[in-house]
Amino acid sequence: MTHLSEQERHTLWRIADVLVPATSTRPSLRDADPDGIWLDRALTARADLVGAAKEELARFESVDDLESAIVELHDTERVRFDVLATAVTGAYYLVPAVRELIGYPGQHRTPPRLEEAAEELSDEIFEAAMNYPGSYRPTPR
Amino acid sequence: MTIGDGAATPSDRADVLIIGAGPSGGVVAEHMARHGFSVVCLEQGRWVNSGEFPAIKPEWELLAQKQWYPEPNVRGNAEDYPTNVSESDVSPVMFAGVGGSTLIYSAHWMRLLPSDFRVKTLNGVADDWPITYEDLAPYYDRMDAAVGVAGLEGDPMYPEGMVPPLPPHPIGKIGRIAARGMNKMGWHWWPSPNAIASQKHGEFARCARWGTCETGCPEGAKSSFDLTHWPTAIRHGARLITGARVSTITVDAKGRADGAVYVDATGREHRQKARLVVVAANGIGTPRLLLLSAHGGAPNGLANSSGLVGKRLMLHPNAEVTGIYDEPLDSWLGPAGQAIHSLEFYETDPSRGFVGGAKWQVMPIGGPLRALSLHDRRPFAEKWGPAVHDRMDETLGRGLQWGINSQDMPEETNHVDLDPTLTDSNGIPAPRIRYRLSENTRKLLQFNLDRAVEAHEAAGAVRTVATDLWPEQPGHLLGTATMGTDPATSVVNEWNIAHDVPNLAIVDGSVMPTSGAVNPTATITALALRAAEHLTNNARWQEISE
Repeated sequence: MTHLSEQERHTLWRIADVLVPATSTRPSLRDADPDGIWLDRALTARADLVGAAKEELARFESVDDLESAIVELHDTERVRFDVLATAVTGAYYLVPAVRELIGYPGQHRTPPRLEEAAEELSDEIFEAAMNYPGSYRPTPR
Repeated sequence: MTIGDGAATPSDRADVLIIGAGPSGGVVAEHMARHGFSVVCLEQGRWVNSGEFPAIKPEWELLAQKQWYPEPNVRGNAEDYPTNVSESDVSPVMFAGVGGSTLIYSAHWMRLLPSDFRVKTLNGVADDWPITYEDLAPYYDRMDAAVGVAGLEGDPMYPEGMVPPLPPHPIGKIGRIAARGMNKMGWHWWPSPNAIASQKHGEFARCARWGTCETGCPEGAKSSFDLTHWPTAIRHGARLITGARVSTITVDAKGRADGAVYVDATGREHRQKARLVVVAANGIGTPRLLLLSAHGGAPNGLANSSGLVGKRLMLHPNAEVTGIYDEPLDSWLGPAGQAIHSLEFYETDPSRGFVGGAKWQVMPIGGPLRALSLHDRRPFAEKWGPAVHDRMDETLGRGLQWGINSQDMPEETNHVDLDPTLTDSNGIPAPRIRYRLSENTRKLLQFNLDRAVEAHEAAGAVRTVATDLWPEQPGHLLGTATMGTDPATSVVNEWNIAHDVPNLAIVDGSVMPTSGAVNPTATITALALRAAEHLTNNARWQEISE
């Protein structure tokens, strides 16, 4: 499913260049997701935002000084800004290469070693909890 | 859909009709079906398969913002009912389905403290419960065993005798760092009890540390009540009818509850007759239903001669302080779940200038979107543009949250009633919530927020970010059909039976006279089990409908 037209996607990429720009260590959204695969997945997950996102993209399509316009939107119309920011960051941080760069493995099975809990409670950190002097408040029967 | 005997629209008179298939409904159904009673349960939601949970999808954080969001108005599912929260500081959180809100709860399995049952005696405000901690302790023990609580015996803030059946989960880096700060302050902490299996336990898998407990456990390790109680209840003959939204509890000529009218998923109306009716629809749904069930003999609502149905709503307003640390904490790792908790500021201390206290718990932060959201209050240039990458590097995996679950006092001005215009998808009036934080609660929250910042600083946090009030947490819906001995000042007696209607029991959080400050599911289900046992043991003398 493609939620955005080619024009809309290009406008969103321009906005992404303002919000999450390329640096020497991080790619831009257009470079990280050139086919818009992750953008579409993000918008499928937040399909409720697609209509509002399209409206915003239409508004910003021919804006020249996009950075100033986006900053103004952030400062004055936060709900509208959040629609665009959610689409941009939602897509950007789905891209596997970006996740690798930020060190996020995603949610997955990571069962602990069986002895891990006991080991964590075997030093002076837990000693203090066991020696805590307080108690619950007694109640009259 | 009907599971059990296959009847689509059972018209036979049941011994027990339960309204709501959440945790307390599940406990009552399991107990009474096991003891030979014919049980029918009407549930407006459906079964949710664990394969539907979003945890396994890369889009988990995005899906948690909408389809799996805890506030029903945001989710907008047809089986949920809307709530009018325009006059409320906190929006009630809930989930309609088999297992109810335990499908999306964080499974913090905490008991009330003895003082919670004696608030009036100890503090001169609110009410004492008609029962004590000691009365409820055996039922807590049985619920601990039923859900497979993982934890560690010996918490000094509890009376002796609380022995979790499973060993604790690892507290992880987040727990150890937070504990380091608490130790410096000399404050209480303890490895937390969670209704999440730390080892394989019966049908439950061992926790694999998904950090997604609040959007459903894909592993089958979290004790949601669709897994803990409903399969057994059904094996013992209970009939669970999903997609069945009750519009009215009906009464016989003597005003005794004799069944319910419900609407199925197609909009068709049905009647279910019963000798005994048990309401388990949570602290919002129960008063809504009792008010919807007003009749000539009870014009202000069923079981409402006291006028307290819907009043005294308590929601445990939540706040939190996230600390950002200059070291990797793997803080996307579950369970979430609580790593450690603190009851240092739980008991009332008059020198603080407020009554009541709070329970704290350490939880992980989650993924990159949550990490970025911690900087929402910063100016544009400090969060976006090139700065976004710095914020991500500083925050992702390096934060831990001290959550603050606060005690709120029962106040009649905080209440649930029927909205004059808003309706659910079947056209039934929706609940209207009026809930405002009292001055006492505001002082309590601010005191605890300040202490939580200190706890982070002692632990070495390089930055703290506070949420003064979480408007859409935590889903603890309490107090709206309060328990007591006097019919003039309470709705149900000490066995959860309505004073006005001798064969109507209420078994959800609405019966709690005071809220305490711990997560309430352990208490709600212990009370439900106690009520079910009473009903079972006293069936011979139980007045029933004609």
